[in-house]
Amino acid sequence: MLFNSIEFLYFFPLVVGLYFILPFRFRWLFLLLASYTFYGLANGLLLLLIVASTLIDYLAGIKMDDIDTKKGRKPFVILSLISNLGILCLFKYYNFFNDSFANLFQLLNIPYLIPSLSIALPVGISFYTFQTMSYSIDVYKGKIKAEKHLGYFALYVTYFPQLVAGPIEKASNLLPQFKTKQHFDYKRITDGLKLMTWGFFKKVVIADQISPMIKYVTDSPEQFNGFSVLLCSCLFVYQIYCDFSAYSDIAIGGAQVMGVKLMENFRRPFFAKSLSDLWSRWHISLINWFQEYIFFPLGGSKKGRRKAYRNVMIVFLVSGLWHGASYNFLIWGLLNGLVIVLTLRLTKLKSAANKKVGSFINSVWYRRFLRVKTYIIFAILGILFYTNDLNSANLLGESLFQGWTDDIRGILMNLENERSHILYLGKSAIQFIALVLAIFILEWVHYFQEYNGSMREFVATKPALVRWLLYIGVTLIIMAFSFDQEIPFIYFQF
Amino acid sequence: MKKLIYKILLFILIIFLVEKPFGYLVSQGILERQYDQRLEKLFAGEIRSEVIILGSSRSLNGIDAGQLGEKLGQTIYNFGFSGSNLNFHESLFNIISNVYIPNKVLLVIDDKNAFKLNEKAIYRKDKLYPFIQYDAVLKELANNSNKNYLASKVSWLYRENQNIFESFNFYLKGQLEPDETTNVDEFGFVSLSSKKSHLINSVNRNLSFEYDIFEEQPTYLASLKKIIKSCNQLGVNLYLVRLPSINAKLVGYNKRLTDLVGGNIPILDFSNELQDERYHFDNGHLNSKGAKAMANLISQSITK
Repeated sequence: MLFNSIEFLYFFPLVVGLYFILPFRFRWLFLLLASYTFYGLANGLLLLLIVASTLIDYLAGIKMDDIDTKKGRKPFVILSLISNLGILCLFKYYNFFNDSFANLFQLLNIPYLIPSLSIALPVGISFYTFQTMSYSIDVYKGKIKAEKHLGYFALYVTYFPQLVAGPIEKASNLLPQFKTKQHFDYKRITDGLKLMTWGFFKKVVIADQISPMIKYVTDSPEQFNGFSVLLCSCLFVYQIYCDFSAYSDIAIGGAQVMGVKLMENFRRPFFAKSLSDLWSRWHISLINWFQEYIFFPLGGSKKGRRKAYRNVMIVFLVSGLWHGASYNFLIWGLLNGLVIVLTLRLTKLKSAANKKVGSFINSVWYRRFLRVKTYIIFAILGILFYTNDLNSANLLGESLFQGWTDDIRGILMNLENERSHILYLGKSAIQFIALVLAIFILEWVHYFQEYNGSMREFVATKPALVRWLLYIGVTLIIMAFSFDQEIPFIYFQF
Repeated sequence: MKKLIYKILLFILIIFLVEKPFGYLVSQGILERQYDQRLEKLFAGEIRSEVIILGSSRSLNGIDAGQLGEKLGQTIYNFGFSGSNLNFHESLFNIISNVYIPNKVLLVIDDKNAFKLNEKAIYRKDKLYPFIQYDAVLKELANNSNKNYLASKVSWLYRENQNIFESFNFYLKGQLEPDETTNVDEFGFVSLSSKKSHLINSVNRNLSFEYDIFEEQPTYLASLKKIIKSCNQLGVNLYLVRLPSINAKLVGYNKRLTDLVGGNIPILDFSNELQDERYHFDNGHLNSKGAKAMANLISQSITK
């Protein structure tokens, strides 16, 4: 079931209503059944994978809890990791590596007989496997006690608001909340609903409107010059941000309605002044996971500069692969890591240059320059993300530096309706203006949150009439933009 | 809890009160925006022809409905839509038969592409959306897209939202200009110029190729079968019509059609008629002269 489907419009109020009506002792069971329904309705038998993963990690956790030494616990954590990574590799990476080997063998003129598998990628597999792995590792390290109640543990793995696209929660945050009786709290519930509404706005009014524009370019990349490619890349960054952060908002808001606090997953990434700053604001739960379970165990930045750079590269290599089994994602991850390493490497040079520039570095214009620079770098790297293969990415990458004069002339003169092709990327002028307005609203909200704090608290200080006009207006806009296509969230594929 | 429930109910009530006028404005704007008003005329009761023609642009431009009506002495209306496929023709038949039952249906079957996935022939949602305020159209769109029927019944704004931008365009720019897919006459027919030919002369009409059933899509076959079934149930005489083209000959297609529809549905095959270039706009479409000549041939065939 998609959050942006009509079915969810029935499902969510029903679940919340029954949740508060039911006695506390039955709530975990009810939420577990609701979560299985939420996933199973759309994914059928793939639900069994989650059940299998749940049982393995539950039993491994129980076994580890009975053993005092890390050495004794090791076989069980290995069992858990192998089973989770095994599921992930089989469904997500098998074909990628198999095809790569087949190509290599073909290049070497050696017969290669291992066939590819025709299997569908289970929705949200990278999210729930990472979540359960974090549980096993934490139990192994003795950071948490194993969960004895299978029902609560199964709910931790499958809790429907965050099951398919995060935030990737740690057991230490989520499990205790399931065991706490949640009372009906007017402010908490309305705050959750407001956050969900904001998520729907971002998804339906911005991300889903940009989606066909990106497709317009990627369907025939050879038809576009530099201006359109840069515009497409900049819009893609908004699409993926609004799509993914919308999911997080709806998940966090939905859980908040039921009294569960999920972690923040995005913190206004376009205010970042460098790529490393951006990655500390983007998909925070995944970055935390990488830090805690890969970067720090490798030594972090404490074992010298070279090892720190190596560790950053490893983290971004894994991040690239986590996002998708293709060379595009692999290179995308590596390039992100490379930019961050280069930035770290140039820190000394930068400090010297900053001294020469003087007070300019403290000016608002310098901060804006850094933000725009970071945004543009992220957008250009995004070409690897939104294209299907390296050829298309290469084609668009080359086009980025070509035909700017033709594009500008085409936009200004608009002969043969070129503006629609170059600037509106297949949309009409009115649709494009509506999109720009929506992005402007988004940025205004971000600006307010960055410098003045919570927008919800600010709106709460306004008279009831203003608040109601705002809520009704946003709801009507969402209704007006929710066309006949329920475009799945991009991160479902990961 | 009561406070929240009351507030939510009040909120929903206000939303429904406010969204209706918006939905109404959009629905009016989008109707006025259309140059091709054939479906609107159907719902307004202005079209109750005894014979209707269904098909893609080949039928829209290929059969002069006025001429055919004159020859047959019956009222005829052309409901051909450019770039439409068999799923769309099925929907259109359902919509029309929901309003009234015609006596005869001429279903123009494209040659090699009728049952094949083809980007030039799609389900033309864009042709139906302007008329989504009518329940018969909504039902078809709900069956053939992700538009939710129940939610559309509840919310007018949701129902009409696909039309919002085009509706704005009506209030800003007025009605669409007619083009060769929408410039319909009083019989629903669009004539293509006889003056300029777009024929590709390199096509060798003496060549032939075998019809390939392996590319057939089950969904198109199912649509054809559903049209036949509905016609049988409603007592409508259905004719399958193959129009002339200047392309290599297709061998085995009539047999395949007979296998699909059975012996009771007449197949009017004109694919080898009107081979003179003066009847053709391009290799697949007849011009105005060709459409008149075609109407004469069909009337002879039906009255035989």
